[in-house]
Amino acid sequence: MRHSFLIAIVIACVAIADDHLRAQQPSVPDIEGTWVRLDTVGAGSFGAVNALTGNAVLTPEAAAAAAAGRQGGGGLRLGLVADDDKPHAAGQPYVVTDGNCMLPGGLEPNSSAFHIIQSKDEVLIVRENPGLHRTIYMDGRTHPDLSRWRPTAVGHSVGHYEDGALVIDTVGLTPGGVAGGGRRTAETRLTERYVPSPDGKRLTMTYTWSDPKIYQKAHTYQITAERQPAGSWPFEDWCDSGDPTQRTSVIPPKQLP
Amino acid sequence: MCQQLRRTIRTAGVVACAVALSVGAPSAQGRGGRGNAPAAPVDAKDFSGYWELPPDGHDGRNIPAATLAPTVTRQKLAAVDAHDAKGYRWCYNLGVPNVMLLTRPFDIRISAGFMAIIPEYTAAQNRWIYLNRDKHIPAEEYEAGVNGDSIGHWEGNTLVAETTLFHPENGILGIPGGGFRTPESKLVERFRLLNNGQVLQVISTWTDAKVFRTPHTYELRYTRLPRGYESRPSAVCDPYNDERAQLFAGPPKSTP
Repeated sequence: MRHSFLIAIVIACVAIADDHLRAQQPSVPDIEGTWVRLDTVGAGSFGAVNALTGNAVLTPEAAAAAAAGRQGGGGLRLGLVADDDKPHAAGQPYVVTDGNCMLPGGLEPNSSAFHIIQSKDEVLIVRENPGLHRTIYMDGRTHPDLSRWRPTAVGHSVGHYEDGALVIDTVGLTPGGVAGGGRRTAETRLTERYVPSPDGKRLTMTYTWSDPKIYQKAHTYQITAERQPAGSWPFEDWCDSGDPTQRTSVIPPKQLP
Repeated sequence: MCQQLRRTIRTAGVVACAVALSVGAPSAQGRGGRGNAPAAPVDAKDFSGYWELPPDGHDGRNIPAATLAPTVTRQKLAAVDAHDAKGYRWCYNLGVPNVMLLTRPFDIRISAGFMAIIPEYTAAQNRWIYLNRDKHIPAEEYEAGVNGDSIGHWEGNTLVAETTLFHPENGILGIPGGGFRTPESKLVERFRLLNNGQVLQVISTWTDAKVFRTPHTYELRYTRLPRGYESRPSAVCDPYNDERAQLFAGPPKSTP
């Protein structure tokens, strides 16, 4: 009996250790570091990149609401005027910022680099410029009751590792626009899969939005980022909202023939 | 016999599972960091977790008055006060040292390359203390924001962080206890766990011959928040909110 118990412990330990290692090693990608979003399609501007990131198929109700502007201001902070993606004649002014240096943060990478920090209980995704960072809870917790949640630009995210990908589930977002003509509310669910390339130099982030009230089918697109060298450091974005020049319109220079 | 062996294996499996999970290496979901729960024994270098400065002077602060250099005039102090008042009015991002004085929690995570201090207060800038280099960024390559350049190393269980290359104007300049930071200022912070890992002690020492007659040292102690804490993002500071701006429009008026 004693021998059989010892043999059983050895067998169980070997089996469990093997399962444990197999479960953890291939499934946890190394995505920690500094990343910069790439324009892989040659769109030439951030507005154009967003226009190329899919083509959302909205429900008639959502399309009507979007047209009426009832679901928010397209994801932009109030007062922030979007580049309309149209060419501007020489000397024609257009405003690109209201001068407010405070940014709400957001889900997708913007023109700044972003940093991913992986720890046991959470993953942090931090943009270099101001605004809310993203906290991805990895400790098995569930989303809060949305009736008691104040929506934010980054929502509430939980995650896990699956087949070499970081999988993030997010709800509780502020209503507004989504890249590729999509919309969102606090109830809209975003699922993200972050998968590094085999050499670890590229990161493919797949975004899938689902909400039967808004989408006829899941709205999916991808963004690719490039890993920055190990010696890179974050820039500290600085901007003075009290500086009147922050509100200056941009006037494109006259182009030479 | 076979059934008995299977039962025994099952029993042993439970034992082995408990052993395996308690010994556990990195967990199936984890990589790099360690947990922030008060486990025994505590890893004396594990600062990862959410930390909060106690809300008032009952606890967590030992900030003596700074001894200022004779070259620091009243006019200079008034100018710094005016600069900082403008900064609060216009929602300047908070950085070193004021980011460490917030009574809203911050999240610390340590990776191979740095220790990140991420405040949940959105008007504050994130801090990055580099553990993978022992020299500051060359001044001619560095564009200062509100924090300066921080590098750190371990002395036993104490993380010693040195910060310099401050910007002369960006952010809030005032230093707890008196004085202000300049591009020549140097800050050394010593981070250490106390009370079985439930308190994070940070002893800060400023040196700047143009500002302080003697090095200015103060101590802050942060309380570890419980496992499962959820960050509560603050409202974004809006410099163009007219009602908010009234707060900075002079002495308060008791009449509507």
